[in-house]
Amino acid sequence: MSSDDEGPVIKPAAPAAKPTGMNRFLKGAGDSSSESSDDEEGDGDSDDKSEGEEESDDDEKPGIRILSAQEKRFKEIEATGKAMDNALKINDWSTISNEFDKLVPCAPFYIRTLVSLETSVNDALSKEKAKKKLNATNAKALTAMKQKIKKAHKEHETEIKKYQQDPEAFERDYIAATTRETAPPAEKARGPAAAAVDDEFTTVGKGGKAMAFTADTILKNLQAVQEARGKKNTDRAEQIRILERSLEVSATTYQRIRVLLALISSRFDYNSAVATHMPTEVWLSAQREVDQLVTIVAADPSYSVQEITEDYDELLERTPTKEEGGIVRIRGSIISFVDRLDDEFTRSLQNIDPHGTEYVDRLKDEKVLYTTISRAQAFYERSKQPDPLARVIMRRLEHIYSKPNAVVQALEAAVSDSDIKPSSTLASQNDTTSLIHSLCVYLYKSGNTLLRTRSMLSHIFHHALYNNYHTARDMLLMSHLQESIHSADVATQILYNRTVVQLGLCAFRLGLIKEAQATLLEIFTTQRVKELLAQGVHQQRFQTISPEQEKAEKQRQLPFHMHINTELLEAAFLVSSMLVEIPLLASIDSEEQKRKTISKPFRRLLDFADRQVFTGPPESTRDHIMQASKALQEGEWEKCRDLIQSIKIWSLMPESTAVKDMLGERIQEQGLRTSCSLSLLSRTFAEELSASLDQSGGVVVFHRIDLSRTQQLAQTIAEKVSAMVDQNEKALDVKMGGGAGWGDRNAGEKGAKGGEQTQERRGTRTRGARGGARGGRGARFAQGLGNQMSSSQRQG
Amino acid sequence: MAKVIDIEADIPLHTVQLDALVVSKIIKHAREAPSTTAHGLLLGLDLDGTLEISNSFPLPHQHGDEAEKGSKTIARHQASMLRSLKEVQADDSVVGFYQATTLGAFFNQTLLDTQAIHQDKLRHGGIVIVHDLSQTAKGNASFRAFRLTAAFFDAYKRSNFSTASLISHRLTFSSIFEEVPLKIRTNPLLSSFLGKVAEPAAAQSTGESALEPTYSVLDLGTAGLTRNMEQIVEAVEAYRTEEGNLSYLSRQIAREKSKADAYVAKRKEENAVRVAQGLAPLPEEDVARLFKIPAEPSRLESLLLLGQIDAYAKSLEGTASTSLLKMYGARAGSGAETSD
Repeated sequence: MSSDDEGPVIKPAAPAAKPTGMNRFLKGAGDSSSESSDDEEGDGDSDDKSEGEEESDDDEKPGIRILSAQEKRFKEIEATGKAMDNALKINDWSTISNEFDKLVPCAPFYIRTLVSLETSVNDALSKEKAKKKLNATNAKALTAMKQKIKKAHKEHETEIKKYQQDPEAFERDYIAATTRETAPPAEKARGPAAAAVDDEFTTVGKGGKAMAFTADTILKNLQAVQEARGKKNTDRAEQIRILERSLEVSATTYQRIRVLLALISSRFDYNSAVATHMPTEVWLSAQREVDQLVTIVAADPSYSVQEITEDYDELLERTPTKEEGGIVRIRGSIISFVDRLDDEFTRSLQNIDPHGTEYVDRLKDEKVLYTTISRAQAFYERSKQPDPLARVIMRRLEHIYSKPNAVVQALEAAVSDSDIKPSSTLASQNDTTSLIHSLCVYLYKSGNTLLRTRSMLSHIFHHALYNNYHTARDMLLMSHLQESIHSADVATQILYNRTVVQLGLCAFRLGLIKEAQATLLEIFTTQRVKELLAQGVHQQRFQTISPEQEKAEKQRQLPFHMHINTELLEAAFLVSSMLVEIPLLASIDSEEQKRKTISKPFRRLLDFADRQVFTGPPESTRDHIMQASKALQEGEWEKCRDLIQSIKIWSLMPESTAVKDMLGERIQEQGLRTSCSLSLLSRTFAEELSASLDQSGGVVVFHRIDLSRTQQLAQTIAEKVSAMVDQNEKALDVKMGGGAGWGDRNAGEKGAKGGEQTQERRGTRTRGARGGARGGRGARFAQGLGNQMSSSQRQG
Repeated sequence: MAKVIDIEADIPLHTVQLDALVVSKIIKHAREAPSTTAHGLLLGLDLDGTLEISNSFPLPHQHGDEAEKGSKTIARHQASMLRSLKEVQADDSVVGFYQATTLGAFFNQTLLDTQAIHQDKLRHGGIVIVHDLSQTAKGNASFRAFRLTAAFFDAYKRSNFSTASLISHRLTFSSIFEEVPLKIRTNPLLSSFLGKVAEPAAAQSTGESALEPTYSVLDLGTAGLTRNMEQIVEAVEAYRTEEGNLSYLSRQIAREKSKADAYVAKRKEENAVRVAQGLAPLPEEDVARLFKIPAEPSRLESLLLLGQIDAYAKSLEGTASTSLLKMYGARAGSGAETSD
């Protein structure tokens, strides 16, 4: 988050901006105090034990200086000093150490004590060496004291030097300086003061609470809040309240922008580590504020929110007239707010039970979120920031790519109602496809490869969803993503899987059974469909995953409304497998052929169903399909059709009746193929016959070749050897540069070309082999023999 | 007789002379042995570049399950055999071994190992005589003499059969062995015996004697064909498995390597950052210790399998071509008959 970066940047900026009238000492003092507090913060992180004390110190230091009741303070300090003196006399080093901790650095008294302590500690140490009479705690305290003094000495080296030169003048200087310049540190201290517990601080705390919410103090309040941000005891709700009130009173655009930036950041901070996602109300207000911010920035081109700006004074009011080029550039990042909003939205959906009404209610917020994203897009379009624009467009695309037309229309309706519109809307583009097309085209042109890949996949997904199978398939093939997707990040891989699956479903809807089966096969062979689609965590049977892994996996899950129904998917896959496999099974006549399966998952299920002793009426989708497969095997295509059509899950598919009709037709077709070769013919002839339907000639062609053992073996050898050649070619491909980056375009193309060539080569070879298997070889032999014979005859 | 007394074995071998006694002994042993892998030791002397093998004795068949015990028995048998031979003043210097095989596929690990041991220990490095049973069954006794090539022997000694080593040694299956010309010397006693054996066979009937050449030319030789093809299928299958293993291993190596590389790159980057920040760079840890990169797999096995496939294919080619020729001949003859 950008405001995180702001913290450290602001701090050094503040002292530098102080009026230069300050005397040299104070400047040094200011620097050293901020340094020391920084140091101590650093220490506090490393060792928690000493933190308690030091932290209160930390708060105290500036607190003391700001008080007008200086006398009181001095008295206290002096009291401490006395106590130390007393302790020194009785050699009680632990008391000294405690008292010293109470002391405030920078006061002249402190310096004075420091110097005197140093000498006495050194004395004590030398004495102790001689006598060793101190008890354990005392000795420990002494060494601790030595360390402390060393540290303090280092920190205040200049002052000590000055003090040693002229103690009187030093003191005078200090008093003069503090009385003159109490104001600026005072504001600085308000933030922590608000959270302080100590009695001393109630006064200051009151000052903090009484923070005057006027236009003038806004920037100061803002800084106070920002400094308190991320600290341990900061009350986040309180901060938000302060900022909200600041927003109400803010007068200028500059102030409003600044307050909004801070407020949105705090809203995102509000979420503690315990909660899984942001509360909806907070999210909604954050969303509203982002909207407001965009409106302000978009309305007034003389203000600009950018991630990188030049340093500027946080405390000064800025107006366009004063700035260079008439544009006030403010540090902040709208895109990260939008990203965060979107992420939080997804996270909340991940964590809400998808079957309750809460989920639906939450889902309704997508509309406003989508509007915000579109507005941000419009803003970036206007301010011409290509980088965040691409990101924001990707966000927008992710909201619409998987949605059917009606939903996109609803979302877009909200966008067109808003006052700021991006260049491409549904209204301007007429239909969803061209809207997505225009968004994607922008992303293709942008330089970011990740965004390009993702937008490409979204685009393909969209085409597949809208039944443009061939467009989607061609795009997927042309993208060459399948070669490089293994090296992509997990989210993109998930998107890729989703796209492939959607493509398979699309093919299925269009009746392209073979394509559907081939597309879906890969993902179903893994048997981890849910995991691959990020729709459920895979049960790890053999290994346990660490909580971090589990968390990461959970974060990857898609919200329920984006899920692709896996049961529907499975039904589509199994049915297309059935239509491909059953006719194949029927034409099998040898054991070796039987081993060649097209769809292993389907074959497994079928084998399992075959082993079942008793089959009841079908219940699940699988049951239906298995029984339908059996019916098809037996040639009862009508029964098969009825079984398939009675599967309930089809209702989830768009245009389910058309799909059902299509399936009926396909089943009839395949049933004919199956029954032709099997049931009818095997009844007619005693044994199984291999036959095929010559559709062009309209005749049934019977093949019957009795292979001798030698011939069979020859065929096997031919197969094995061709497999071996394939393997060798693959090995060669690996050697010759399969490893070289598929990612880059040139290599990809070259590789693809090489692949095509091998494919061609393979193709010709397999064709040849097939020809041989069909008896062509015998024919050729015969021919050769004939030639030879005729020539020999002639010779004879 | 001896032109040069060759004490240091300086004169390289250029021929192997096989005594007919040895030939008959090997054929007898190979035919009678329960398995196809009959093997035994060759005895003899070298003389002016010619290795004269004058005697041989079979070694007991080795069972797979009692390999250890078997090797001991063999050693004992060998020692006692040599001692006995010495006692009767016969040749007792081992010059190599013979191995019966089928279909010419003699490439296997044990043969290599034995020959490698011999090549190391024996004078002139020893010789392996390969006797092809299947060829003999068809009537052509096949004996070939081999020894390991220097390149292979070098690679073998280093037991390094990685791809790089294969390339640098220019090794393929055909360059594992070098063949030594072989001739058979028949002494008068044996030729008279052979003559005696052949005579009654000619008188009695045609098909009984293995040495009867009259009708074997008409045999198509398809008997061994099926077996031969099965062998090819088996060998190809084994080769594929081996190749699969190799590619799996090489993938694994590549994966581990890329992991290690990524680690090194990351460490370098980190160090660059640290140096930029003015911190001391982290020590370069031993990457090999962190990532176990498996050794490159030995290609010997696939080399041998390829050799086997080649041998099977060649013998198939041989049988197929002769039988094809015979078929054409038969067809031509029958065609001529019908046309007559």
